[in-house]
Amino acid sequence: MKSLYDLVIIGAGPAGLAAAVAARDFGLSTLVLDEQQIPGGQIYRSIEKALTENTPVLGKDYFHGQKLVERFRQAGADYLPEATIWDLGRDLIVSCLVDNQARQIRARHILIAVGAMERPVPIPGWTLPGVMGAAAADILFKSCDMIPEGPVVLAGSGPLQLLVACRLIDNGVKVAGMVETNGFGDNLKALPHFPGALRVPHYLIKGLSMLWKVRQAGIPAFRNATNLRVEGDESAEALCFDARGKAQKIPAKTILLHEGVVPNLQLTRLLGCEHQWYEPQRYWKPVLDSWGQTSVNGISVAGDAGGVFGAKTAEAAGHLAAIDISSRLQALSAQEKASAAAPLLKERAREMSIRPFLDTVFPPGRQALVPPGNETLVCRCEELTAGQIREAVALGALSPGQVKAQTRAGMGPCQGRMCGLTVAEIIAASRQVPLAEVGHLRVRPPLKPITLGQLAKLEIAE
Amino acid sequence: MLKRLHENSDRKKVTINFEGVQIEVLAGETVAAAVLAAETDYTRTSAISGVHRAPYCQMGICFECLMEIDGVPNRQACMIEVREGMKVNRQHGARGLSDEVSV
Amino acid sequence: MKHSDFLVIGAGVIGSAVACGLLRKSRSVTLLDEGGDALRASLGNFGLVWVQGKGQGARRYAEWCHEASEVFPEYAQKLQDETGVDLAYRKPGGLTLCHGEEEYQKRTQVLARLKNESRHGAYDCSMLRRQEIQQMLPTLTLGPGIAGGSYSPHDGYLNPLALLKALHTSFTLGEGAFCSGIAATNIYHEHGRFLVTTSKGKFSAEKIVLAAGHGVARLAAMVGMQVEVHPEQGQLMVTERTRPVLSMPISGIQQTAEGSFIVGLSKREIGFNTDTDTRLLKQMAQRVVNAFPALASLRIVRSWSALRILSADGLPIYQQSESCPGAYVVTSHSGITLAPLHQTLIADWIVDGVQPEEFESFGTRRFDVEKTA
Repeated sequence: MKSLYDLVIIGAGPAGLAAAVAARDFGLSTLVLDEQQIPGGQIYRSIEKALTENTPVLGKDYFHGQKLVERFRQAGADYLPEATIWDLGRDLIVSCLVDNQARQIRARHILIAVGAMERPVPIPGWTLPGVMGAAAADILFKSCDMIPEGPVVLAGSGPLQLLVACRLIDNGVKVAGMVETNGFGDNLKALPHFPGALRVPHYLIKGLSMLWKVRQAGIPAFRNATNLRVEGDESAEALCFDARGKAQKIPAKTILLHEGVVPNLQLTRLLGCEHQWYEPQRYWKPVLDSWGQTSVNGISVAGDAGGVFGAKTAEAAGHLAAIDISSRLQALSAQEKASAAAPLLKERAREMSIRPFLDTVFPPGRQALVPPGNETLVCRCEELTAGQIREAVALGALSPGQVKAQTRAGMGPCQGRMCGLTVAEIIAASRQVPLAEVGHLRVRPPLKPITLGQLAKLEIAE
Repeated sequence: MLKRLHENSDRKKVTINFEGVQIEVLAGETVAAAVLAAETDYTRTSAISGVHRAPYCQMGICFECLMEIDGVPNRQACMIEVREGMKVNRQHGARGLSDEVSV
Repeated sequence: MKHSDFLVIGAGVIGSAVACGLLRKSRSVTLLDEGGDALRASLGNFGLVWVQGKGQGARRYAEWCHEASEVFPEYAQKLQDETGVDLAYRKPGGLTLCHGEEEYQKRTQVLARLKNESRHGAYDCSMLRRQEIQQMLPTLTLGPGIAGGSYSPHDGYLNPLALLKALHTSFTLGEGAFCSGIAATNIYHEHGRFLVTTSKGKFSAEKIVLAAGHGVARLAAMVGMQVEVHPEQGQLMVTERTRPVLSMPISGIQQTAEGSFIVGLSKREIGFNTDTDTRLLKQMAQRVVNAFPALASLRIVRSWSALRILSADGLPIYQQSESCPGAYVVTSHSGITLAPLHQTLIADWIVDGVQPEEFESFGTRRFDVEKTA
């Protein structure tokens, strides 16, 4: 371990790993910090520990990560797993917690490759045990060889929902329903983007085969579902919703919610990077140049943390960011930079061509964005409902920060990760202004909790 | 709430203590997963109303998996792997402070 | 154009308290809240209703804080009953801890001076040795480095966010016109009335009150007043919720009604910058752990900073414009502690011109004296 690196990469998913391999190729001293025990990120989670029994279900796309992780292990980058980042400054000092000790590491350049998170899906009853994100179920399968107890109901919108349904079917779990909040109208809207998607036919084929599998399994499927709510006393017992013109109820032990994924913005917000609103999926993302450089000097972003485009795009973006950073640090001439980047730029453009189609076919459901009723819990930590957020707006609060001051929404341990988007959407809807006008919560250190004792013993980097 | 797919894989068996009961789990599992595979569906009671809560994201974002692990309260159980002899309890509401006062 | 008898610019704790006070005398009060991007010292502060240590060399200010603390329990109860907002106000007395003998001696001198300066030596705050303090805090062990501290029975604390919410609620219940998201751009004094242009239309009023925190100097200049305030950054940290163990506010450490500990007691002058500084946060953490070793295990969930609004001598400024009578400046760094007085005496002064005792201590003339001296 050094105290100063050419490049510190935060996150060991496809973007971070590809960047580390490339940066080492160009001779940069490189450190990868990651919160997990082994590399892979969420998409290639636990890939070095995958059981051979699970190979067929995990599929080819997952094992693509194996080579990447192997190359990373051989690349000679320093690697600090189980490292929690709690602060990052414009002075390019990373503060992290490793082995219960707070420490600081300096960098000449930082690459943020922290990926995405599932969009929280606030519907009545979503805090009951037995309700999880669909991605959470996928993580449990990859990392722990576990599956949720059936019957399972999947609800929401997004390609991941389909993937998780297939994994459950393959593992013999009873799927009692696929309840989609999107519908045929979204298919129509996506039609103009279909030719673009044809550039990457394998994604379409994979999608169709997943749809086929779900249909073959005879799972009751509903589209355009509204008024979703989880019923249950101390834990989830059923998903209720309206579809096909009437009230529906599907008993289940596990309810998996999904309305797409959104970039993880804790670090770029903390740094005060410029962000932009992405309307099709209704999320914020940092403004990046074509190499991943943010508006803040010395800070780049690669992968889903910069906008959700999937693992292959992330890998290309990580590689491109490493090329750009190497040239900024004079490890690469302009000529070398251009020739190294050319094939990657092409590859990335091709990989990205599926997104306009996917983002339009699977828009986040309206109910998940702005809970229509007042009783839905929005801030899980401080236990605040949509109604309480609306009351604060009525009393004059204009922004998530002011709602927070009035209600405590976003003051709990998750620091607004789970409620921030929803609070902003509720304010925008109540005030009838565009969301971009409402703003967002200010992110402050520590990003993850550290103790007073750990902070007191911190050795400050000079 | 969760089921193991391959109980008899070659992964090492590990014994942890959950709420005073010894349970056998598998090495490499997270505490959150191991507990949810043991006939329970909640991992904490909330700090305000005291209702049952369970992990939502399994990736360190939601802070719903807070548990007391080896005497340390409010730890993210989905980010920590099980270890032999680990003592795990649900986090019941706000944490306490253990402080022996000797005036 | 909206016309009212009184227009208050700035809906922080000070502006809101004055506006609520004006509502007792007039049905026509407008309160402008800049909202979003305002620096909002009211939202970032520690929530102490504090007397001890304040007002060295400024007897009237020390008394002013003491008067506020005397009426605070009744004030808080009334506001709470009226609005249903729990202020979490408690007045168990407060402590300032001294780390080491040197701090203890210094603190002793500060208190001696305050007592000397007070009328009839009435200043009520005492130095306690470590053992005595430990007896007051039976559930938390003091660290070995604590030599002692000072105790005042007049100190207390509340939830500052709740106070602000209660004031806004009270103002709205009293049918005041609360306008949020509106920033004042210009003020004109015409035919004895005030015309205020804003980001969202024009307002006019018979009298205006400038309580816009850091924005007060710019606005005051438009009505012929020279007011100088400067920002002083203070940093704070808040921890996870914890079952109650600390029942008394300590300068720099308190446990809130929700159970979180709030830690803060830093000062730095770096202009309008609200970034936190890790070095300072570390020093704050060290002092907490030194004071109460058991708190070392508490997780910090957030740190932040806010900007105190300080006049040159740190005292409040209450001043009517001489060239544009009917325009008032009300600004102070002790907005929480002084809320009851702002709502009564200061509002009355604005309505009727009745000045509280020795009021010139808080006027801008005092700075002229300093300049010529």
